Amino acid sequence: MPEFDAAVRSELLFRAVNERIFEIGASEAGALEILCECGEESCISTVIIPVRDYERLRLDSSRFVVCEGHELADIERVVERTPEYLVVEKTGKAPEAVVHGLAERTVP
Amino acid sequence: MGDDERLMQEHGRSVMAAARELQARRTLVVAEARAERRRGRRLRDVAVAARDRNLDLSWRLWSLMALPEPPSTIPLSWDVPRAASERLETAFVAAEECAEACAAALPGTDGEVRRTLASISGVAAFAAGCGRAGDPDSRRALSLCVRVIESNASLLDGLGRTTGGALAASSTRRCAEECTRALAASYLDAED
Repeated sequence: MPEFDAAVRSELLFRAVNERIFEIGASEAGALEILCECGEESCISTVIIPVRDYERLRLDSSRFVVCEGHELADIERVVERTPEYLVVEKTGKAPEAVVHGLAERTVP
Repeated sequence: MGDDERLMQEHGRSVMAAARELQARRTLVVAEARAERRRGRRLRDVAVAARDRNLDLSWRLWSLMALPEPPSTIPLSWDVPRAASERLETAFVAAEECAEACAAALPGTDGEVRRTLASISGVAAFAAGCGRAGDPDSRRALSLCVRVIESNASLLDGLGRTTGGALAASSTRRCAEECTRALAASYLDAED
């Protein structure tokens, strides 16, 4: 399992990339192929998610979309489960680290 | 059968035997000639490689200011050693072009192709953005860019055969190539 800081850093990197994918690929009724937002830096799994669902999820910065089995029980809990992906929510000190990490990012 | 006819038959058999022998010798000579040509090609390749290596080393010595004059010939394969920062800059530009080409190819596509193009475009745009901002995650972004493009290789091969997708497919390959070179240079740079 990746260390806490490394995991949060990877998750934020994937989240930032997904934001760009959303900006470029979002269409009214379509779906997006986004990167799994897990804490493993080498992960290149992708998730197909309806644009509407992604729009809803990204409103909450403590929630991330990951593939089944990529959740980290120590720092997050599963709040939504679909056949394609899981939605996890940060727990403990993780939400604070996420907010801190987001503030530090130079590339939005 | 008369004596003349017998003599003619014996002569015919001896001619046939001589022809067979000559045919066998010809086959041997042809095989030897082919082997010589192969050996000649190998020696020529070795000579060309040695000349290129010599030139390459001479240019490197010159770039290190160990030779007063540059060598008079430039080998075709010689690439001017470039700094890691320059490689990175080239990679960020390639990523930007890749993002633009993939985004431009989106209209008219649907399904998996559309999703993949948007995904690659997003990753490449992010990497280019990191480069522009001097973000500490720049190298991670380049690495991610390479991995995402390579994981979609078969789809990109198909896209490259279409009129509308050739430019996008080509730009993704160039992007992956430049990003890989930049990463290799940055590893070596870090080692120094």
